Amino acid sequence: MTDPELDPYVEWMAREAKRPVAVDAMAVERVMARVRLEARPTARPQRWRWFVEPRALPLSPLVGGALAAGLIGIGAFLGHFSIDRGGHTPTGRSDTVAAPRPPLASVHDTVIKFVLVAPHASTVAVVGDFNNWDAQATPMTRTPTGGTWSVAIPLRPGRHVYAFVVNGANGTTQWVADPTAPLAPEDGLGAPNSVVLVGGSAS
Amino acid sequence: MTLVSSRGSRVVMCAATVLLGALHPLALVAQDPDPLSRLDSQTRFTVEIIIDSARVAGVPTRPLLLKALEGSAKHADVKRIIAAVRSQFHGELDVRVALGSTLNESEWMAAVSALQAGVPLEALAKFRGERTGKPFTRALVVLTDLIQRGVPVQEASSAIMQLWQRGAADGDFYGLWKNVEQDIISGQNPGTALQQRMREVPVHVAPGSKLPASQEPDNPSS
Repeated sequence: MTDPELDPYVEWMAREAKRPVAVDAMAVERVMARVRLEARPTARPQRWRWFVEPRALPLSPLVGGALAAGLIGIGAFLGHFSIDRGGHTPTGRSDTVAAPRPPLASVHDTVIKFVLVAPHASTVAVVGDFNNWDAQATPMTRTPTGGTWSVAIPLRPGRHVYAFVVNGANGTTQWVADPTAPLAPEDGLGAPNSVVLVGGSAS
Repeated sequence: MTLVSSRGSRVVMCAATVLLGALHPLALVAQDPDPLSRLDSQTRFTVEIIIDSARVAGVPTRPLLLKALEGSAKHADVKRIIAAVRSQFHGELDVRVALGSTLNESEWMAAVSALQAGVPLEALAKFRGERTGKPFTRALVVLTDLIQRGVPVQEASSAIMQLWQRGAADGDFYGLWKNVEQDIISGQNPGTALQQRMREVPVHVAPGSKLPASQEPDNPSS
């Protein structure tokens, strides 16, 4: 059909559409009553729509990888702080045996110098509860002038038990108590220990 | 929210999620290496049981673990390590009976050492009665050392308690220990050395506090 042929129909439809519809007097009232019965839509879905509405975010594999690395980093960071310096969980109780951590230096620490005279030793180390009794953790250094060995380490306030591990030139190893410190009692482990108290009243 | 739009990105996100879940516990393990791995399985099993018992009993567990590590470092055999850890545990239980459980760890361990050196439980319990709020770690460390050097237990306990009642400071205990040690090294009888050096320790009495009967001011030896 051509435009001239359509015109009469179009005009007819326009006329029909514009013709007022006769409704009874109560119609408006009925419609409004029905509207009032409907629950009023809350504002929340509108407000949160942006967050909950599914959408597509184009991500390249490179960006995805970077995002994944970031998430892993956050996980490692949270993991680091979910256990305290004493090796215990923040709840104060751990279900597994946790390592007592060698103390990290803090403002409350006091630097203690350990000295041992052992002129014939090839190496000397100080070993104690502050380094988890690890004979490799705290080696001492020989003074340039002679057979005195020393090391200075920060210790937390309190009572610490320790001993020296003296390796002789002939390959022998001996555990030696500090001759200048109080002795700890014999504990049946075969070598004597010494005690050092750090801080006021060794609290 | 759908965060991915392509198949490649979806794969990356899945991998990241799996990695995150897997690496979080790994990160913990890396920071908290198994401290008992130095022990053989038999020793480890027994030590873990003792530590669990201590945890349930509410006494410190860290010293037990350290005792096991000490034994391992000293290449002690299984029986010795377990005996030492068990002795430490029983010592902690005894200390709790004698002194209560409000001690700090240093006091607790010093008290266990004193018991292991031979100080009777009743003598240790006197520190609880005389408690002034001041830690008695140093007093007990000196007491333990004196016994280790040959001073009879009764004499050493009585002398240190006397000093404690007098209000002796940390420096007084240290000075006494140093002097007695020198005397013993010089060849003096340990008990005699202690008695003589005790007379040199000054009296510190806080206002209002009561001296023990043997230390009343009219006593010339004080």
